[in-house]
Amino acid sequence: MVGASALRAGSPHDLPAEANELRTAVATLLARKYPKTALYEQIDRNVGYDPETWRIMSDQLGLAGLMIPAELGGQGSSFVEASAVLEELAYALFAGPYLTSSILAPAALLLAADHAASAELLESMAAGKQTAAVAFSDLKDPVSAAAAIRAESSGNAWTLNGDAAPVLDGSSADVILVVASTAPGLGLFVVDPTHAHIDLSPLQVLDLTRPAARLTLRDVSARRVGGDFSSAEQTLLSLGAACMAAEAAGATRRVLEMAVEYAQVRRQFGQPIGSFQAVQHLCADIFVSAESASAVARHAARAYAGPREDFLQAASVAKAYASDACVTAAEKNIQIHGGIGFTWEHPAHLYLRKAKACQLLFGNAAAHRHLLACLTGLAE
Amino acid sequence: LDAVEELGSFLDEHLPAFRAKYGDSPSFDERREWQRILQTGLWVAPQWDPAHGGRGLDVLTALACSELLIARGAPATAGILGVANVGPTIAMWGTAEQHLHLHAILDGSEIWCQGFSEPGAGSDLAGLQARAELRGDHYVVNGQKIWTSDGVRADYMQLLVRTDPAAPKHRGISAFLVDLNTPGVRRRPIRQITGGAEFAEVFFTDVRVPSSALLGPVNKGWQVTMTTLGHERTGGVTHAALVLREVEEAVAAHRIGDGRPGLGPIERDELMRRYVEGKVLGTLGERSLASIRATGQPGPEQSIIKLEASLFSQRLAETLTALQGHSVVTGDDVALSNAYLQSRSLTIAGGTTEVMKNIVAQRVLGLPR
Repeated sequence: MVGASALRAGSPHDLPAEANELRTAVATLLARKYPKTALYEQIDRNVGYDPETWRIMSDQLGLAGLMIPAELGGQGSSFVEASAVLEELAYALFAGPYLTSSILAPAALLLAADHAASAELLESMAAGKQTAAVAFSDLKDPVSAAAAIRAESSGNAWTLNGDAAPVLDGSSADVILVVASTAPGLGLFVVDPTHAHIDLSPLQVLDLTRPAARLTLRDVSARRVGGDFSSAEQTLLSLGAACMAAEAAGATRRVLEMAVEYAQVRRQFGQPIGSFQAVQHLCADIFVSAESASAVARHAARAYAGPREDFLQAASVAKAYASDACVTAAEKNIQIHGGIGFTWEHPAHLYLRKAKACQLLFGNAAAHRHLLACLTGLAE
Repeated sequence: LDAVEELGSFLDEHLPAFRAKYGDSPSFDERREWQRILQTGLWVAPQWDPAHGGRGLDVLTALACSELLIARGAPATAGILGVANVGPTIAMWGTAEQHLHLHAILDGSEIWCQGFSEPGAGSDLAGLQARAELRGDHYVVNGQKIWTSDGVRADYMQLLVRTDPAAPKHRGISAFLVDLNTPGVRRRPIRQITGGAEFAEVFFTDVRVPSSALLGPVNKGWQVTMTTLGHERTGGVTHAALVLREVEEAVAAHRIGDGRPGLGPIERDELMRRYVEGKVLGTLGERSLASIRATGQPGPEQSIIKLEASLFSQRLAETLTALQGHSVVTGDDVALSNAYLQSRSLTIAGGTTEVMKNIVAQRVLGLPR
């Protein structure tokens, strides 16, 4: 028997030692600093995240600059480590600005490949002084497209107009990176959210641990980073998809534990409900989904960290699988819990909310299957 | 990876000639011939002990060899159950005399089957009723086996029978190595849903089996069998690779180009679902390999591969018939319609999906029995 403690640890063998050490440190810290009461308090106060917990994680574990190169003050870790951390954060339902400011924004700046224009910002982010969010052209479609925000230049100065939603962590970020249409192609722009002509309205979110905002720009001056960003945006969108798969996998590992623990203690008809085959099969299904989702998410992470030839494909496989499998797992967990699983106070719904958000952001399963059809030569 | 290179040049030398002679879908006897050729290079089970006809390769190198065989499209060997299941059991529990079977299992001169299931003992295998009674220097076997794969063409059987009817059901079973040409053994092919007859009913009426045919200690047949059922540590990895390869071939066959118009959007989505499933299995195989590398044993992903591979292969067969349409119905594509019908066995044979889910829930997740 593998037992509950091994399930809690998750399969370690397809991760390098550094990634296993880091995720253990993250899990240990969260278990201490982020109990269920803190989670609910944060949700009730609608604050998005607790800056103090994030500061500790950033200071002690270097999460703010995890993917930023060492010469800019970061940890210089690969996406394999970053994705393993994402699993642990989702397991504990702690979001913080990690996804946007530690993964997507640094990746955007590094993909833009403009050292002069991004070094200072990356250094500031690595030091934990500033956080950044990314406004994409479209978070529904996994394929890079014309952006809703337009950029116009006169001389070296750029002006942005338009709106984008949802911008994940948009309200709390110190800097917004905007993907905007230039003529031709796309560009990456840095804007200051305190600018007078920027509006960031918080949106009501399904995943209560990750805030989002609608961004509106009216003649906002912006600084461009790098040249044409079209193919970089495609990589970045797939990176987002891979992140959603990792989060869904981490959340599903917790969902599995909850389901198994409850099935062992809840008694009906004079015996634990976990002795009934119908309930055992639901638990076995969740186990299959949890293991499979983390396997494909880690495969995608290795593909990003490697030569990246197969990355788009690996990310779409991970997203196409985890999208639906992890939502179904969270639904089955609520079914196993019965009435208590339908209450606000039981965290089962928080995991369903996260899984559902992960399913729909950065392209749903069908959209990623279409992308795979294009990548494998079945569609144009 | 010298061994893999050596296998590569062995295949360069022998595979094209075999294909030229027998084509791409060899019969059982032709596969038996391929197995004989393959064993001239000691490549049928290179992980086996050299004393038994193997090369003593470590598990990972042996896996790389079987992956190369898959990648080159080498024919399957004929004596699959002997090589995969019975042989390792004999190697572990057998006497020196019994070990003599091992070379014959490898070169295909002995085909083996496993006499496990009975009309009253399917998923509940330990409830088996066929019995053997000791009479001096031999046992007398009576009873019936069913669903015995290769039961008609096999020369020998690893037979499970009850030797102590009074003992609790798992503790009264013994394993024997039985020559199926012994008087009193009667075999009847069972025609399956494809119309073919690859398995059989085997009847035993007062069959005299020498005591020397007992494999392992008396009344320990359950342990003898179970220790080797999970013996193939890399079984999950190979299985996953096979399903992935099948999916990739299906995708390649439907690529746009060379006058092919491409699939409609619904069929394409269907095939991409199978592609994703194949890739999921492939990455679970990678994880299994990583576990073997780190600990010498596959982790819990092994049981997931077993569970998912059967479901995924079944869905792939369904999808392929859907993509083909009429030709499956009218008999223009018998291979495909047979593959579809055959695929229904995948969630039954070797443990039904339902029983495997029970096992995962109880043994891996720790839920009560």
